[in-house]
Amino acid sequence: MKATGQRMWFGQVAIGALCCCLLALVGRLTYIQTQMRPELLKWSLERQTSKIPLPGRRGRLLDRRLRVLAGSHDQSLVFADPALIKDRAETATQVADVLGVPAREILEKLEKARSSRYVVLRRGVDDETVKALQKESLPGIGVTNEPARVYAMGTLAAHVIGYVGAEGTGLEGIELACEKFLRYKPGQRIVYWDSRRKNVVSQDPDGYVAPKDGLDVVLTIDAAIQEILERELAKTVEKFKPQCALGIVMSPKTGEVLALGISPTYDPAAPGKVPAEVRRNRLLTDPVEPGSIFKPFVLVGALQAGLTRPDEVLFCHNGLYVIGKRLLHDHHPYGNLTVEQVITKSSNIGMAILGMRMGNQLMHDTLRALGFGRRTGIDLPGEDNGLLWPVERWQTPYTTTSVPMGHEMAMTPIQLATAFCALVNGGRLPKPYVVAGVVDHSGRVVEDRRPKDEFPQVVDPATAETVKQILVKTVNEGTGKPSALEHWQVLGKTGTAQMPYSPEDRRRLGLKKGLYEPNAYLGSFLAAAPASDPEVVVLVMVRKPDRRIGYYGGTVAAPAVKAILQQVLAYLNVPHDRVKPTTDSTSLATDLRD
Amino acid sequence: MTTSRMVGVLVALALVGIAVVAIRVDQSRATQRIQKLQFEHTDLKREIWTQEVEIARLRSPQAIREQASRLGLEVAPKPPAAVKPARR
Repeated sequence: MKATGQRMWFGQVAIGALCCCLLALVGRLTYIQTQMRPELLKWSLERQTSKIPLPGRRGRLLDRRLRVLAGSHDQSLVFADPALIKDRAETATQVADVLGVPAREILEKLEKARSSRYVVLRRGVDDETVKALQKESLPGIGVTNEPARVYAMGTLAAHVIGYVGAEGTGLEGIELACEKFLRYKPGQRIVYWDSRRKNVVSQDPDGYVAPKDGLDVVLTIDAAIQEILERELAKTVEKFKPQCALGIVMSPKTGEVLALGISPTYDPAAPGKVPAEVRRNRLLTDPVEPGSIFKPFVLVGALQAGLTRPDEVLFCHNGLYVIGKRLLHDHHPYGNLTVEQVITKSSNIGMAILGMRMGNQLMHDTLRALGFGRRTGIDLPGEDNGLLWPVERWQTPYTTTSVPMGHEMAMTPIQLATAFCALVNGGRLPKPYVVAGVVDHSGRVVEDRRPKDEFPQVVDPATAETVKQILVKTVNEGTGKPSALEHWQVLGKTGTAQMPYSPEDRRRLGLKKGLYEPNAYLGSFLAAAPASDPEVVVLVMVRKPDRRIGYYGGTVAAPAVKAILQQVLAYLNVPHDRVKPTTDSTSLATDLRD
Repeated sequence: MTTSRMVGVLVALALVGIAVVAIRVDQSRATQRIQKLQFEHTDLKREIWTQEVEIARLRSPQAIREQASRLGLEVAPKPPAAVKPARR
């Protein structure tokens, strides 16, 4: 009996214990299924799946005729999945040998991203390296393709286009300015792995998210005109050995920038190979004392206010004019010159006399109205205001006589070209722009950047026409002769200005501000054609040419402008407005009337 | 429930089961096909990008100029007939 009772007691205890265990197990299972579920699911998904990023394509940059300036192509990319690599140091050494980079660099990347399943080891790997790497078949190391920026026309329009960084984001030029349109939204693919890390078909309908490509940006730049400009600038650099040559081709009617270039230029695919100052878009960022090309802008104010007439005769003091302690010189000892001749022969003394007649306030107001001293608003990054002191800071008579000659202030080349557009288009000041619009992949216009409103009238049309005729004579009879064309009437103004020391040189040499560098000149020519109905404005500036070869604007810049105009007008199929070459103003007037 | 009814229910259940499996198989195939098409689409898109760039390279003014010079062609001035009166 006792034995039976004991057995029953043991049996009950065992059953009780078993029930407790079962209860505990059920409890634990319930806890796992409810409390730990999200965490475990996450862990399980992490083990079973990988999210593969799907890069899209950065938007293209197209010229005005929809030629691709910047696009994308596939480049190979080597990546690692650190979770699959057992011996990181060993793998790093093997990968480094193939890629030709230090093993330490690879190891650092692998160590840094321990928790990540996708680490980029190298971009832009060539086909041979890819084959070599695939031959090694290293666990955890893979090769994939990704789109990379490519500049189809090489260095063409580099200063407009700009460039992108290693991650594909815009760092300069239009690439930076239009980043929000060009940028793509990456997609992703969720890949399921089996126990042997083999890809299995996903049943997840949300497993694939397509990337959203960037939008295309259409520029006002014309690749053909850009090529003409850059070729002529390169020839100028080769001939006159300057620090650099800058050029702009603009449409005075619309404000479109047709071409904008600097020589020497750089390859936007390898911007790091040149110093930053070569990459800088000096046409926007570097204001310069313009010199004589500035004279027509001051003359506008005097003519508009009725303070002079083109045929008024001014005595130019035979080339030496004393104002207070200051001596003003002309290149030639002119006696009497008409106001028209003051421009065509570029007399500093004649302009100083006009400046004193105008007074500071009128001169300042005229220049402000033409857009000097403030940004033009061009849609490229880094534009400078230029330097036009407030009228309170102008010193009479020094500033009064300096400004009409293009001194004691600084303008960016884009400001000068834009203001010149107003002189030749009937007095309306355009807003320069390089982005015509943004389109999507089906060609639908997402944003139209073309100006909708009329440009402000800053010069009265009659005065603009008078100045235009004076500038025609400058080309036919004056300093602009080297730019005259056979079939089209050109109008323009030359300029030669001494250049001050750059801030870096000043610091290096311990010099005072405002000192001019010996033998450093800026030779410029600002022109438009055809005079009967200007279609293009061209500005060429040659910085610090070799003085022994030439430095006057008429010598270094005018021939380049001539070559550019000749080709651009023919390319644009602009009707001729001149039948035969002439140097006689009467016959010129007849030609223009025709 | 009679035996014949039970058999009927079992057959119906079996048919539903087979249908479910068949649908799942089809779904798997369709998913696989979609994925393949997505890959092909991506590849073709990338091929188009590459071709676009290549066309742009060939159409670039510099390339045309080089090709013309290789062929011994020169840019000829416009004939006199092309001279039109100026616009007013």
